[in-house]
Amino acid sequence: MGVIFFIFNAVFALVLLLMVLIASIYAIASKNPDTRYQPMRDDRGSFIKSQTQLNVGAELDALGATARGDKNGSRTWGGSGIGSQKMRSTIDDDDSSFESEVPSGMQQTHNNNLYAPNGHYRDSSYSSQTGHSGTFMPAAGYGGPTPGSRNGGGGAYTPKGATPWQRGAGYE
Amino acid sequence: MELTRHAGIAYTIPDLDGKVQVYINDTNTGEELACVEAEMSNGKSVYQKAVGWVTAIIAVTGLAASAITSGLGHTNTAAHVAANALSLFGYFQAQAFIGMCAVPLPPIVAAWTQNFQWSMGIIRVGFLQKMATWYQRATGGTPSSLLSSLTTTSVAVQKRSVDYLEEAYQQLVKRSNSASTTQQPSTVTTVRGIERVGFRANIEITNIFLTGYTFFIIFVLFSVLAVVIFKYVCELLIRSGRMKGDKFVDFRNGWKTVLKGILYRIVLIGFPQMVVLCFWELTKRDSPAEVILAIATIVVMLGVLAWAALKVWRIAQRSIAMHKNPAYILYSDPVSLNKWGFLYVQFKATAYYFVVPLLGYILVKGMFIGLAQSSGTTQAVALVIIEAAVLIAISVLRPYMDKKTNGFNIAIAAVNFLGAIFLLVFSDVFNQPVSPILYLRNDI
Repeated sequence: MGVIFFIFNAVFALVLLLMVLIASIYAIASKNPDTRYQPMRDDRGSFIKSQTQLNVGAELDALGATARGDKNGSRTWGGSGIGSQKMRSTIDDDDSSFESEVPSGMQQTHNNNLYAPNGHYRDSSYSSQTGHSGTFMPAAGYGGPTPGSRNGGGGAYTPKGATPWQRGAGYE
Repeated sequence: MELTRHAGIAYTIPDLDGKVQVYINDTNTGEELACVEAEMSNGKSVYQKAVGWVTAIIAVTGLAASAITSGLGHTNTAAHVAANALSLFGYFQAQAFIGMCAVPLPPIVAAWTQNFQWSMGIIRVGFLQKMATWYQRATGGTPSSLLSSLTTTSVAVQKRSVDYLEEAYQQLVKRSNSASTTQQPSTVTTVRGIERVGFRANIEITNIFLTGYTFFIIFVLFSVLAVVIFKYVCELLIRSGRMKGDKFVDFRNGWKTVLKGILYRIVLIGFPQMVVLCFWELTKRDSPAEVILAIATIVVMLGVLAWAALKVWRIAQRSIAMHKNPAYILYSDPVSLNKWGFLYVQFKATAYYFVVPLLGYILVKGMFIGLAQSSGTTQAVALVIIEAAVLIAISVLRPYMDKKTNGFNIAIAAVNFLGAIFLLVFSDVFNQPVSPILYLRNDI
């Protein structure tokens, strides 16, 4: 009896070890290991921020800016499609809320009507990065005006590289 | 004296559960004067250092690979590799758990499960053992001296229910030594369960808890150091221009959060080990300080994991309220993903909560093994029930992120359940014939 226990456990352990080893080596050695795995059924891929998504966001920003006929320089923003602007220079933890950040030299407007249909946002301000960085793009569940990034406003601002560490609305 | 010849096969099978009987007959009358029966071992065993090392290296490689892949940005791959490595680790710990049960195990089973005791932190390092003995003595405990007194004390590794056999043995000793003038006191101490595991690893019984505890702390410190060093090496390489600036950028910007995530991950990995050892220490009480360490550690670890699980729950609830599905904030918020991700990424989004029943499973299993060392049958029965429940839950709910991962974990749960059934067979519930097998050292 003990021998049977040993045999099936030894074989099983060997199989598992080989699987993990092969998966690990493939993950490190391959240029694009994600191709091996199917996208998740719960569609989490569309939620996870990554560098590529942020760059796409930057391009869309530029497109949106051109469509609106923006130019660099100070202006006032009115109407829909406006959020507040914040500068993010440090990576914050969930201990500090983004409301505590003070935007430097930026115009700040609140638009409480932006997500009115949803009605769940406590405040509609969301952090976005200025310059050539990406924006927080909510998933396709929302209709209404596309929330592009807020470019311009105020005087000179330093463009920041896109990082996925910025957080969007509703986070602590 | 004529020695019976053994079959040649007896020299090659590892962990032979064999007996040798020596009959001492009077040459003149042929009368049987004495009979000695003892365990026979050919020195071969499936307990090999290499097995422990290879399994440990592969498990750690899996974890490291997932960390590196995640830093490089391949989140899907990282999640898969991490989930599988974690499950593999869980399987090793389950094998170690079986070895720790106070059930009389066949030698081959005891030897095989001993290969995985490194996942419980039971590793023998010379100076650590000295430090453990010192610590216990310094804090008011009395170290055992089982290993150092092997010449005068026979240590019986529990094979079948030996409690009444110990008495029988003592009777035998008294009878056989009654005529001789040079009597040597020989005592028999039986080791079972966790004590047997420590004994087999050449660790004093009273040092077992501190050994496991120390290795857990070493694991934590080593990982923290590795992350910090990696961060600064990355910065150096980028500043000197040898590495492109876009590699590992997510990690470099948010490395403190990533570090917190790694620490939580380590607490999760060490949770089974510490549950068993801490609760066991409460029954052994090697020294007052060690008892306090045990209580403090288990409270802190439970607290940390409960807090993390609660956060995940709250984030998921908020996500459901705001976005109608729990995955949204859990996956789009990079801080949540990196700090608490290890608790839910391996599951599908709707089963984000499944870590809670899993933690409960480990806690209950560990408590049974740590607290019920005096009754192997209780442990075996409890293990069968617990593993059956987990197998059913995972098979029905299929909470993992995709088919492959579900299959992986269902297979592990099934093998664990089978192991528990075997454990029940090894314990005496089915009334198998009892054969007396003891390590004897008699001076006749």
